[in-house]
Amino acid sequence: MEIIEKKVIEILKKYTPNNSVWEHFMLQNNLTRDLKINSARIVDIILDIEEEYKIEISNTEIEKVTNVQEVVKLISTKTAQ
Amino acid sequence: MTFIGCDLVMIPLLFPEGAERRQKYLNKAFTCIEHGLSEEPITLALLWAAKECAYKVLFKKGAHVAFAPGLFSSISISEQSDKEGFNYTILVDYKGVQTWVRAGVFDGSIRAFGTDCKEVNDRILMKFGCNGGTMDVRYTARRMLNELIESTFNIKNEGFFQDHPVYKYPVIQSVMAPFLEDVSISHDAENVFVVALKKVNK
Repeated sequence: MEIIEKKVIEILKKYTPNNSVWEHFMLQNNLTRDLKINSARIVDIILDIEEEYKIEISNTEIEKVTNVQEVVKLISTKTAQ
Repeated sequence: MTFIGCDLVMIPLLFPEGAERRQKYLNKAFTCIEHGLSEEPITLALLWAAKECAYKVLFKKGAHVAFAPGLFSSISISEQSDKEGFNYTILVDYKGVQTWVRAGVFDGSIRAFGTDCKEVNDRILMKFGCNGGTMDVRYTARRMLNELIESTFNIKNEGFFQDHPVYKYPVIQSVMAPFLEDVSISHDAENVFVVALKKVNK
């Protein structure tokens, strides 16, 4: 889980407009509201995750992930399948 | 209660570069119906803005649902000019619920607003402004909302939203209650777009 967390954060950092959002980072941080990630970049993040973990994430699954913890949990579940 | 949602999209920044990545992005974000409507970047940006407007309208109450663009499908797009320069009407479907969106192209960016009731055009108030280099979108949005209320209702207060976090919807709802039925805010790095729905009989 910790390795997935680190990788997810590495991917998210490519799309956060300024580094200050990471100063008080928590896994419960909302991707758009707290990390200020543009909604158009969420699709890029999903594509990066799919490529990194060789998984496919459906639109219904995208709809269920609003924070970093949920992203990590989704990857963990899908890679365990 | 009628809800509204707005979106501001910088066309060049929307889609990734590189043919393969771009195609994957488009497949993830747009439905088969939308691919059939047009593959032109401007049209796709209009459709994206319409989807995001529909998302904001439908999930205004803070439901724990993320924006999954592929679940929103623009089922029709028609050209129809209005005096504000919004040239397109797009009908967006999300699991059988439909949202009407008006959208226009202004200096390389898309502005769009949508509602769950199309009979509200005469009640829509909107303001577009530069963030003025302050990088504090909340300050700019508050100022714009104050100006909208003051000019529309011919009153002077200057402080309706002064101390309120405009992105906390329950707070903004209580402040706007005497004047507006709903408010939506969208921004990019430089600009802020505010759309409000005037209360009936106000």
